[in-house]
Amino acid sequence: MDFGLGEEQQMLKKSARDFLERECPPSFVRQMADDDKGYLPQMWERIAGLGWVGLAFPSQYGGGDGSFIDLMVLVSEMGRCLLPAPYLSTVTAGLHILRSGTPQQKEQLLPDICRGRLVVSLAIDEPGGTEFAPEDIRMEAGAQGGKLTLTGTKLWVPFADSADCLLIVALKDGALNTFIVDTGQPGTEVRPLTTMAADHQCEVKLNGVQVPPQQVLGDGGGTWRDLESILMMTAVLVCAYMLGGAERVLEMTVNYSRERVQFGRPIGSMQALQHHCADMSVSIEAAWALTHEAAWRIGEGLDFAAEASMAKAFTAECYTRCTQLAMMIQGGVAFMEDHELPLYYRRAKALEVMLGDPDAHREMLAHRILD
Amino acid sequence: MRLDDDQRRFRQEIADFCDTELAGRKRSPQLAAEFTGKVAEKGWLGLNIPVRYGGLGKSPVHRVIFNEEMAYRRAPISLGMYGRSFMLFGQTCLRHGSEAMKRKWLPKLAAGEAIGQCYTEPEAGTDVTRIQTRAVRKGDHYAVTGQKMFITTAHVLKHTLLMAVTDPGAPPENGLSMMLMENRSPGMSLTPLTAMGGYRTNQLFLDDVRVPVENLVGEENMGYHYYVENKPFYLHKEQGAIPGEMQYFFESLVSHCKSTTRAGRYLASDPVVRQKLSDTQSRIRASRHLAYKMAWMEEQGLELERIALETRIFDVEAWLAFNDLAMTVLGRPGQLSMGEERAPLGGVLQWKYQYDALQYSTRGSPSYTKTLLATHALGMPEH
Amino acid sequence: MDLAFSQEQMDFREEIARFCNEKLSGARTAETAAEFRREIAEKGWTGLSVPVEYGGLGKGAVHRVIFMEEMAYHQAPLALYDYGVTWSLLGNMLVKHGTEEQRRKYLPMMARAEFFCGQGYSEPEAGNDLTCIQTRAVRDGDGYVVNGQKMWVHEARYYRYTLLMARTRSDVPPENGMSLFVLDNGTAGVSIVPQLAMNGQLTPQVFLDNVRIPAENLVGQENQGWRYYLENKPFYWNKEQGAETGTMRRLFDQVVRYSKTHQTPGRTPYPGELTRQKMARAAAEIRALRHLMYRMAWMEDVGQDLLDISAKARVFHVEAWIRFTDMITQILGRYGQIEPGDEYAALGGTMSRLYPAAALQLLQRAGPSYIKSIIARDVLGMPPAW
Repeated sequence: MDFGLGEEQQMLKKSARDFLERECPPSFVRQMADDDKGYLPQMWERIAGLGWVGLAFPSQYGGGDGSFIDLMVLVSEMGRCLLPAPYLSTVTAGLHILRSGTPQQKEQLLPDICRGRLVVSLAIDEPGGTEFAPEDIRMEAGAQGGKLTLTGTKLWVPFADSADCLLIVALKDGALNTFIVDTGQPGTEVRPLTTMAADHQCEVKLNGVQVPPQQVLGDGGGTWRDLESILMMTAVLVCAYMLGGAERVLEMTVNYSRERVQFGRPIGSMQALQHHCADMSVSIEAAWALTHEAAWRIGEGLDFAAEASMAKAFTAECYTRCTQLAMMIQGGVAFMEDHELPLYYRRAKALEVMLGDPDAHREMLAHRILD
Repeated sequence: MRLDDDQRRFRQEIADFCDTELAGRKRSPQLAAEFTGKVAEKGWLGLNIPVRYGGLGKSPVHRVIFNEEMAYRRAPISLGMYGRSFMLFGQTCLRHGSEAMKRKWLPKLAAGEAIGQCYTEPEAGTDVTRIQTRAVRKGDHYAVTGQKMFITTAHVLKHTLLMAVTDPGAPPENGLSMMLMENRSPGMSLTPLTAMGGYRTNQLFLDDVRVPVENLVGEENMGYHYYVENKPFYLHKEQGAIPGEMQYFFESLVSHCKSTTRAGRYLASDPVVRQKLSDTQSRIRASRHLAYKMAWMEEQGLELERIALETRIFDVEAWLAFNDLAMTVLGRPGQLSMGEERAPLGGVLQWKYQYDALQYSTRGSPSYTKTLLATHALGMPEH
Repeated sequence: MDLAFSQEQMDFREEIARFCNEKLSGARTAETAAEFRREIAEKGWTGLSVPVEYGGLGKGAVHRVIFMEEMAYHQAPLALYDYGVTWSLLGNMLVKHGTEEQRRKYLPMMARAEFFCGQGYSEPEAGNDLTCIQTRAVRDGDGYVVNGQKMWVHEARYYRYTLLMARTRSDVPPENGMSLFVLDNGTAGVSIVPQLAMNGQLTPQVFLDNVRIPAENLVGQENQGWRYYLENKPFYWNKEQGAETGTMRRLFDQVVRYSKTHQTPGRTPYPGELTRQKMARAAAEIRALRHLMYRMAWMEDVGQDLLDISAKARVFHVEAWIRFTDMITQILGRYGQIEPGDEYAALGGTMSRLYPAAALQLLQRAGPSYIKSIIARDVLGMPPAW
């Protein structure tokens, strides 16, 4: 039994923190929010060069043979700095290919993904559709002259405008399958959505986009079950990302409370504020407990859906609450756009409603426990 | 809690006025200016100013009715700016201003000229005793030097209510004065600042700015005392607007929930959503009651500190809780910015989630206000 | 990171479960309870943490937590709280600071569960702030003469010993003039006056009138008592480490079964969605709490500092427990408030007792407010409040 991180994991954490603190200051995050691509391709290359993109993929495909816990450690550091990059989206898509792809598809795509040469995004939900509700997916592969075609709209696709290819989830012969579509293809139209957190989610419109049979992921019998599992894993990674941010927010708040003097003493000496910070601290500790439980189980190949829902619901509310308390404690300066808190404040709320909101996850968990 | 006939007529008059002026009109800065002008013409910006000074001499309850209705109808008028102008400068002037000051300035307020607030400095937020801006008496004027922060109306209004040190030798409570300063005076420079939701405010640099002596409000060195005495009004500058605004957005959210489905049923049928909505309605109702109660207490001449603190805390927490739960209820579509075709409620709630975050800290954070409530009103020992 | 229990730990847990299922399946009487306790002591389980050389099993903290959790889950007729208090106070203190004689005298008895030891720290004027204590211990020949008054002393009527904190010097700051003693509650001059608390329990005040304590009962060194107390806090805050989790898990399982069998006619699905939300929230909090308790135990076993985790775990426990008992009373509704024995009492009337008792958690051992101040100051580094 070991509740600590291994030596290599601690080194990974430290080197990630050093790199990101240097390369990804708040000014950079702000700059990328206004940027067309939303990230810097040169930085993406460097990240890939560090082995981060391929961290959890098998070395057979140029990956680092890393564990899920390794990935969790890295993603947490990214969340601390709000790294603008198509990281989670590409890794998620890659894991889906790894789990469900044919050997040829894996050979064809994974090495380039690990090297950072291929940016990939999953396109699942449609307008009006809810996450983890496969019945809401209506897009159906049509047939035209022996070829499969896709028509319809997908929403919330991260970095679709930079993606080299998209994994489109649609029905085929009554089962949900995944179709590998190159973004350059005729009939694909991608538009970035303007969102509160400037997180580069996109609308993707497909109009008779042709998909050769070998671009259907796996054996064509349906990929939803596996995809759902991958999405739940991503939810756990998002928890680590959120907690990296929450820890930074708490740190920022404590530091401010030590410096800011009003009424003759540092405001951090006031009990009410001390209790708010202690509450944040306790909540973060409990959220890590749940995130670790889920992450460890994923690494061991155990059933983890219940734990993932526990972690996502709890952590999202923890992060949102931390940003709100921080806003209250840090006052006017933190409300200004040139302060870093607004970045976390917006991102927390965005992540709360992504990959299942807290109420949805609690209902999924209740279903497991009670039905 | 029944309004009398005059008050009920007043509410109806506002409702009718808003219908007439706003129905079918597209919101724009021009409309806002036009609308505000017409409100001023009706004398409604001088509701509580005594008739002899050009106002309508109406009661505090009228003020609440005005703010509530205007907010509920999303009238394009800055209730906060006009509200503060009266509640800060107007109230203080009525209580402590010279007759000459009253005769000169109160009619201006009644006619629609608002006065801004110029207290905060980089080192003096909630704690106004840390103000350092100096106003040195030089014959017929003060020479003001210093730095002010988060002065939101410096670029829109003609005059502002400055708090500055007039007696540096005295303890701060006895060394601050209030005076009316003209924005855009020689010696004044301004740096614009942008905050969340596009909120615009300013940093002010004052270098020997001239303020005529007759612009001193009340007595020299009494500024802090006026500020403390005025707190209940300061905390509620737009008294009644918060429940009014919340009611509007609450109703919009309810409509959205009745017409939007998720996982095969209307949001309005989801028990979890229903709980959140019904809790919100309860809180709005309580907030509304508190606003009218406080106004009634003001009319009766009762002590207002406790109710003002309780109501402010309650209002802020209810308001911010609503913004938070509304964003959760809206889910991912709620993230879409204004202008996105699929943004629910026109994307306004994500804007409010950002813009309204100002309420976490403006006029004192809830934590600070709770401390005041505990020590001043509930009698717990001071730290 | 490896959250798996070792084979030995899993076997131990299974053994406890089997034992409980076997021994507790029939009617529960005073005799079966006494028999149960005797058998546990014989197995050495009451001396799990006591070092082998003093008659215990010398197992680590994780074993202790497993024992507490499983016993609580199976509602074993054991005073787990009392075991927890005794070990976290006296056991720990003696292992770390006691003399060899003290260890040889008390630890074997503790292993056989022959006594319990309570905490004699608080006084009427000294609750969270123990620097205000006034009980004095004056050196006199081969012992100390003690005068004073203690409050909230654990069941001094039934416990044999009290770990007493008294001032041995008054010419120095309080932190440098306090000592800890093992007080035999039967000593002449000790009188115990019970007070009735909201949880239905009697909690004693102890008056000390010229009580003689032998010098060999001084724990560790004179005037080091405050240091020992501070060091011991993490253990004391979480003296039921594991049991709270077992209790919550058991109650949760019972409520799940209850909610499935007690359907309100015409209502599907049951429990209603709001109740489902609350139960899901509770399930997550119980899981988080369980993780924190085992993590803390592992940290103790590998020798890491426990202040941070113990403070946070304690705050989380108390607040989660209050929310949890609140939730259950809401689910059980009116039937939850009926006392045990009545045919209508839901869950055997447990909540009618547990709910008021839960409030005790808010103030025991320094309530969450106080511990949060410690977290803020000592863990987060915020400026001291005073």
